[in-house]
Amino acid sequence: MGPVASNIFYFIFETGILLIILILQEDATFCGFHCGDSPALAYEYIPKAASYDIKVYPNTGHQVLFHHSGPQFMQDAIKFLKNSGF
Amino acid sequence: MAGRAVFYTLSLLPLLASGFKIPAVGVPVTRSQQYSLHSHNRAESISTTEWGAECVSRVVPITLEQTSERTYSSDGAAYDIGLFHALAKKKILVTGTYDISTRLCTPSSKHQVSGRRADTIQFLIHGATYNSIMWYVHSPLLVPTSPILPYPPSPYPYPYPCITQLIAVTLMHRDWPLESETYSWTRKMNEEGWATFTWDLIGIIFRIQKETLLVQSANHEFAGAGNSTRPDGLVEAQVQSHVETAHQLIQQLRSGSIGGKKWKHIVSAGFSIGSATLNSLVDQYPKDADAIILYGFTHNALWVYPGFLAGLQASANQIDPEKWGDIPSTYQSTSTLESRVVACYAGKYDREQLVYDHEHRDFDSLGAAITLVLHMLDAPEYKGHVMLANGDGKSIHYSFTPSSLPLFAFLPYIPWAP
Repeated sequence: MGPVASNIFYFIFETGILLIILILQEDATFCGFHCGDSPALAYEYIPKAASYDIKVYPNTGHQVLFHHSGPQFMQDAIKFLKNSGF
Repeated sequence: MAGRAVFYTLSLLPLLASGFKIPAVGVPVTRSQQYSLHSHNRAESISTTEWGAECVSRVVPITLEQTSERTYSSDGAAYDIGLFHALAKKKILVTGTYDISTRLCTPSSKHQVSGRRADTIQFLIHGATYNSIMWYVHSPLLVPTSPILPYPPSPYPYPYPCITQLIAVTLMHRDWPLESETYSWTRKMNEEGWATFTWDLIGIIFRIQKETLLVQSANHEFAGAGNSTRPDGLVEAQVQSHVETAHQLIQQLRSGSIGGKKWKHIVSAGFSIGSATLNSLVDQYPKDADAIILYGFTHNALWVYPGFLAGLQASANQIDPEKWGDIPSTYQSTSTLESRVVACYAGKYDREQLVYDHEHRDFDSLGAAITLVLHMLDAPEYKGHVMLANGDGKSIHYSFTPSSLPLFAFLPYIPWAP
C-alpha cells in the first residue's frame, strides 16, 4: 500500500492551526462513519424516482471507473439497467 | 457550531497550502486573447474499435440562445456582479454555435441484441478534468476505416491513410496503462449490446484536437477544415451550457437527426461534473433520460467545494506555460500529481494509471467550477431510475471521513509535514 492509500487523521482547531497528523494504514477502518450518508440523499433529492440503486465501493476514490473497483462498477451498472428494464 | 468552524477552516486550507501565492485562477481574458485552432472533424468518419463496434465520429453544431437579460463580458475591466448572479440563475449568457465532437458506437453483429436494449442508447457525460476518451480507455479517435474526408496518397495500407496518423495512434495506444478488456466502459457496454454516445463538453475537446492535429497537420491540410474558436471559459463554458447541450443532443438522438436512427430510450451516465450536468438535466428536462447513473456525485453540497478546492486547480497556462501557455486563464486543471490523487484517486488503483491520467489530464473551466454546485440540487420531478455510485469517501465529493481528507495534496507544500 503506497502512501496515497494511507489515511490521515487530523484535527483542526478553530484557529486554523493544523495540530495533529496521524497516518493510519487501513482506509476502510473509518468507512463506517459516513460512507453511506451522502449517497443516501438521493432518496430525498430525487423523491419520485422509479427505483434507486446506491453503491459505495471500498478502497475507491472519486474516479471509480479507474480503480480496481471499476469492473465491478460496470457489472453493477449493467445489472441496474437490466433491473430497470433495459 | 464546531462543524461550521471546521468547514470554514477547511476552506482556508488551499490558501495555507499555496503559501499565500494565490494562483491567478479566473483572471478574465478578452476576446482578442481567445484561442483558435483548425478543426479537421467537421465531417463524419467511421471506425471500428478493437472490440468490433462500429463508431461514427461527428461534429454536431449546437446553438445555445442567450437567456440572461443582459450581456456580460469576462473582461476584467467590465466585470459586473450581475454575471455571477446570472450564472447562479442557470442562465445562458451568450448566444453561440458550438461544434460538439461526438462519437456514436454500435455493437458488432455478434454483440447485437433484440428487444428494448436494441432501441436504447447510453448517453455518456465525462467529468473534469477529463474528456470523452475516459469512456474508452483505449483511444479510438484516429483509426478511420472509411474516411469521408479526402486523405492524401499514402504508402501505408488502409486503414491508416498516412504515416502521421499511424504514429499518433501507436503513441496513444501504447501509453494507456489500463486494459480496455477490463476498464473500458464503452467496450463493456457495446459487448453487452448497448449503443454508446460520447461527447465532449464545450471547451474541452481542444486539447485532444490540438495534440492530434499537430501530428496530422504537419503533413497535410484536411478538406473542410475551418476555424473553431475556444469558447470563453467563464461566460460560455459553464454547467448550464453543458445541460442545454446535452438536452439538444438527446433531442437529436431521439428524432434521428444524429445518424438516422430514432433512439426510443436514453439511459445516461455522468461522472463528476458530468453527473452534476446529468442531475440538473433531469431536473430541468425530466423526460430526457429513462435511467441515470450518477457516479462521483453527491447531493451533499456542503462538502463539494472543500473537496473541489483540495484538487488545487489552477490556470492551465500557469501550471505548464510551455505546453499550455496559449490557453486562456479561465481554463484550469489539477496542478500536481498529488492534487490529482486528491481529486480522483484513493484506495486501490494502479499507479501507472494515475501517472498517465495526470499527464494526459484535460481542462476544467472557471465557469463550470463556479456553477458546479448549483446543479447538484434536487430533481423533484424526475421519475426515471436512479443509480448512484461512489468510492467509499476517500476522495472529493463525499463526507469527510478521516480517510477522505484533502490534506494529502498539501503535504509537499508544508515544510514540516511528513
